[in-house]
Amino acid sequence: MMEFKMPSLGADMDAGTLIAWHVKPGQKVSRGDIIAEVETDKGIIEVEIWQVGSIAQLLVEPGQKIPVGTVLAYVRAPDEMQETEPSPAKAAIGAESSSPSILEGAIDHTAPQPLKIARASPLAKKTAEEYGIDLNVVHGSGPFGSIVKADLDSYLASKQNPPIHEAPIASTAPDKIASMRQAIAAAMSRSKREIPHYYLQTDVNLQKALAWLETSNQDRPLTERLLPAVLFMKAIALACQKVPEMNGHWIDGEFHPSSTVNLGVAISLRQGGLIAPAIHEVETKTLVELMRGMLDLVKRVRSGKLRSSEISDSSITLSNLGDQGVASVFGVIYPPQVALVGFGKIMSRPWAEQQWLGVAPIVSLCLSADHRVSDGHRGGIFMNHIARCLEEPERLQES
Amino acid sequence: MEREELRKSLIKSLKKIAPDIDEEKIEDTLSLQDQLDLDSVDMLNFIVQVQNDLHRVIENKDYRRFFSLEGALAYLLTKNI
Repeated sequence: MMEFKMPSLGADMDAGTLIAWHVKPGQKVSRGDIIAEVETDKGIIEVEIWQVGSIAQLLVEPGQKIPVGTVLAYVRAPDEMQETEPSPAKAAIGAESSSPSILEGAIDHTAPQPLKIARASPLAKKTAEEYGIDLNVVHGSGPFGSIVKADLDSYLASKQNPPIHEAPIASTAPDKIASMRQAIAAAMSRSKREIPHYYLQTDVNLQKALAWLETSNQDRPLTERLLPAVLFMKAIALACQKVPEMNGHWIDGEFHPSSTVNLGVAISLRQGGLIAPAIHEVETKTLVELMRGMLDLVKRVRSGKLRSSEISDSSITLSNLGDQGVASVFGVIYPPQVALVGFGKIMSRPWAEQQWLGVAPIVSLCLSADHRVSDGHRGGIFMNHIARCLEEPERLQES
Repeated sequence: MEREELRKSLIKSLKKIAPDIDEEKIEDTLSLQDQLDLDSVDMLNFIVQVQNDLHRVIENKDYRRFFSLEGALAYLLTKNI
């Protein structure tokens, strides 16, 4: 029997309120399934389960505030399941004439299906893409729980009248905003107390990159329009592969590099507050995938539906304040990360390059880095690589 | 669709992206981004939402028309949406 405990969803979280269960006793679960909704200072987070099995018992009622680490439910592992399945298997054991193959057939049938990444029909996948629906939150009524088009239709219809526990946090009470503010205050204070920050700033000419984007966008449908932000993301991910000291966590006096780039994207909340959920494995994603990921993330941040894996495991963060009109961002690193890259507004400025003098769209980027892990020299190499990628945008399309 | 109906539909789409906006205060001629504190991602989500709500394809090259309500309405009316 496995225990499902209240997870820690942030450096300074010590308790969360269980808002709703998404599973029932007896229900089979696979890795990545959303098991519950928990309210924290960062809003309502959809908590995923990483165990495979079936729910044996739910121990906590919704509405209760639970400390991190408390057991919330018991999950039965797949090989334990035959003990609880009703008579067919037991009757087969009792009957002399039953052959082993019947028993085996019964067991195979009750074993959980291996998790397929997109358990949906091609039509459903296409429709989901068109409407920007996240397949993870749609209930599938097709074979093996896969999603068919009819499921998307019901999902869209149900969104007209959302059940009460899905109310968006746009109408959050002032005390929730206050507690988010406190959480940010705690994290930022800790950052400035513990992390010896150093800052490196550089300007990059985006003329080629923006022209390249414009051409690329001509051939795309609106839903696949690329914004400059995804170029920044990809450039950061590629630079992290060159300078791994920027990508990882400082824990207990040691730097633990991350094997993949989970890029936290700082997103401000309309009612006040800031959150930086992660886009995972940025180095492996195409620009279109990054764009989709970012749009989806912003939508869910705005409606308060983030997943636990998104807010707890960023390995480096991007803060893009270009839309707010600031020239440069000298950000504060989110502990236990060790770096943050800030981008300002893309502005037309006079610019000289070798013998050429003119006006170009320039962006200022700034690295805030942890001096326990890296020095200015390595920071400079990191920044240089980002700049080179942005000046030669074809590099970003590869992979 | 008539202009008023279209305007209402646009506001509805806007509210799906930014539920807290005060629709009474929106000026048609001013930039939506500036008035409503929307960023470039919000704007893109808004235009895609309009595409879904009106069941019409909006092309990438016409993206900038939607930066104000005035611009969006002018565009949609000429396209007979």
